[in-house]
Amino acid sequence: MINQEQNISCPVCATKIHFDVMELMKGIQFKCPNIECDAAVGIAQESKNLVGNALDKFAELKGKVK
Amino acid sequence: MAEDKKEQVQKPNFDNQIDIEALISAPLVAASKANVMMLTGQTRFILEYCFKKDEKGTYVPEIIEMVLSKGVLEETNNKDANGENIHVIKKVEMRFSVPLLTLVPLNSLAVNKVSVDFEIEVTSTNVWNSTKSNNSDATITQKQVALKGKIKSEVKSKYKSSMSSKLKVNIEANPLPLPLGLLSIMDLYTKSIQPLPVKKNKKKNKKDKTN
Repeated sequence: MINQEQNISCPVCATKIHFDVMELMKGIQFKCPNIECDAAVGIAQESKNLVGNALDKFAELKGKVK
Repeated sequence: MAEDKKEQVQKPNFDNQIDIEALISAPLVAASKANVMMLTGQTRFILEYCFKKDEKGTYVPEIIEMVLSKGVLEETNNKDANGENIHVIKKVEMRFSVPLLTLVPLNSLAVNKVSVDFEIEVTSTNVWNSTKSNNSDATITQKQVALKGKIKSEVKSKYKSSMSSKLKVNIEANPLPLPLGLLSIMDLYTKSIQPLPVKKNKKKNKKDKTN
C-alpha cells in the first residue's frame, strides 16, 4: 500500500519535488530539483503530531490487511 | 460450578457432500469479502484522518503546515572595492499549507487474482426434466442436472487410516492506481499550493479612471 511516486509541487517554480514522508517526519527537507530555484520543503514542527498520528493509523490499517 | 473451558478445535468437515456450485463459489465469495474489507478500511481511514467534518456535515480536508526555505540575495550597506554594495545570501523561511491527504502514501490495494485449486469427488447426481411453455403451444423440455460432491480425499499411508482433503486458495493482492476522484482532489490541492497574484478591485480602478 505504498505510493512509490510521492511528490509535491514547488510553491516557487511549480517543479515536482519528490519526497518520502518518513524522512520528512525526521525533519529532513527536500530540495527542489530545479537548480535555479534551490528551494527546500519540510514539515512545520506544529504539524508533525497530526501527520504522525495519521501515519500510525495508516500503519495499523496496513497491519490489519496483512 | 466450574465451567468447562475446553478449547474446541473445529476442523472442516469435508466428508459431507455439498452442492458443487456452493463448493466452488465459497472461496470466491470469501475473497470478494476480503476485497471489500480492504477498500472500506482505506476509505474509512481517508475520511477519519485526512478529512474532518464541519458544522454543516461537509468533509473539509485536514490541512498541515509546511516550511519552504530558500536562499535570497540581500543587499548590505558594506561596499566592495568597486564601490558597489555587497550582497549576502540569507535563508528565508516561508510557510504554506497542504492537505494531509497529499502526504499519506496511499494506494488502492485490491485482490486482482484468485485461484482455487481442489479436486472434486462427485458423489451423487440428480437429473430431472423441466418443461417450459412459451406463448405458443410448443413446450421446451430441458434436462437439469445437479451435482453433489466433496473435496477429494487423499490416503496418506497404507497402514494408517489417515485421510486428508486439500483445498488450496491462492489470493494475490496488488496495488492499483488511485481512483480518479481521489487523484483529482489531490491534484486540485497540489495546484493550489502555487501562490496567485491578488487582483486589484475593479470598481476602485473604474473610479480612478473617472477621476
